[in-house]
Amino acid sequence: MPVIATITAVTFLLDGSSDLTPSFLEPNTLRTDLDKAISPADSDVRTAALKIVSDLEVAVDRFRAAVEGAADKAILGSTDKSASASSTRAIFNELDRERDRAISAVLDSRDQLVSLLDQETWSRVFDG
Amino acid sequence: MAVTCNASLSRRDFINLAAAACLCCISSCAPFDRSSAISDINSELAAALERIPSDDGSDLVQIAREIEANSTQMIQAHAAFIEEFNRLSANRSVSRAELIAVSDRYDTERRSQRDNLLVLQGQLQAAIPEEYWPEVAEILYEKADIVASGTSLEL
Repeated sequence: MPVIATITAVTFLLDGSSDLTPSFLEPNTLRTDLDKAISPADSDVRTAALKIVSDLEVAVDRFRAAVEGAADKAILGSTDKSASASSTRAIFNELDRERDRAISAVLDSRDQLVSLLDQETWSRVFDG
Repeated sequence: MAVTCNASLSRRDFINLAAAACLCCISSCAPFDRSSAISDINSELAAALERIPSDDGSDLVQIAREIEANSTQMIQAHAAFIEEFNRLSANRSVSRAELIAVSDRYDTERRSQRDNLLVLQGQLQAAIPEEYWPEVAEILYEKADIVASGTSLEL
């Protein structure tokens, strides 16, 4: 029933679960597994991988801040009985562009890690 | 009417928790288990709508039920997308193009479901007489605030 909460929940690129399986949508879940999976001897690879994750975290955090801002505006607007569906729709349409950018950042980060990590290391990160 | 937030909870936290509670309504995940409280809001709202005459002859309870059904469908689609995206992106042999296709397909569905929800909310707003709106808005937004802050409605 809470319409704005529903829309906000599905716009965020997170699933709300306690599952800590490594996910590009939850960059913080990648950090520990990368750290464990990459040998200390490969310090350059480790540093590069963690830098990729840090950059992704910045992009995801920026997007989530935008979602929060949009939800804030939508909630305030929705308490006004005269608010129209189109005005709320416009708020979320604007947010769609931010979401596209966040997805691109996720895919860019994944591409970088695909190039950086060999199959064995990749499997240690994502298959446990 | 203004939306108020618990003094100990920033608006940012409120929005995050309300969204998380909404997801948990469907997934029953442990960290933000407020599903019963969300259910309380729905019950309270249904009870309020049952005694409110509509302005335009619309069945308010029916609109509310449609909103609830659409919300559920939307959150389930989201959960399915997240699961698929996580699974595919963890597979090193899956291409960027495949991930874009999955994301684009869900995005089209998400926008359509969102528009449907907003239309239904608009119908509800339009059908509720002006004098009853503060009461409904309070249930919708201020009670959601209580759920988010995990205080009096927490079970």
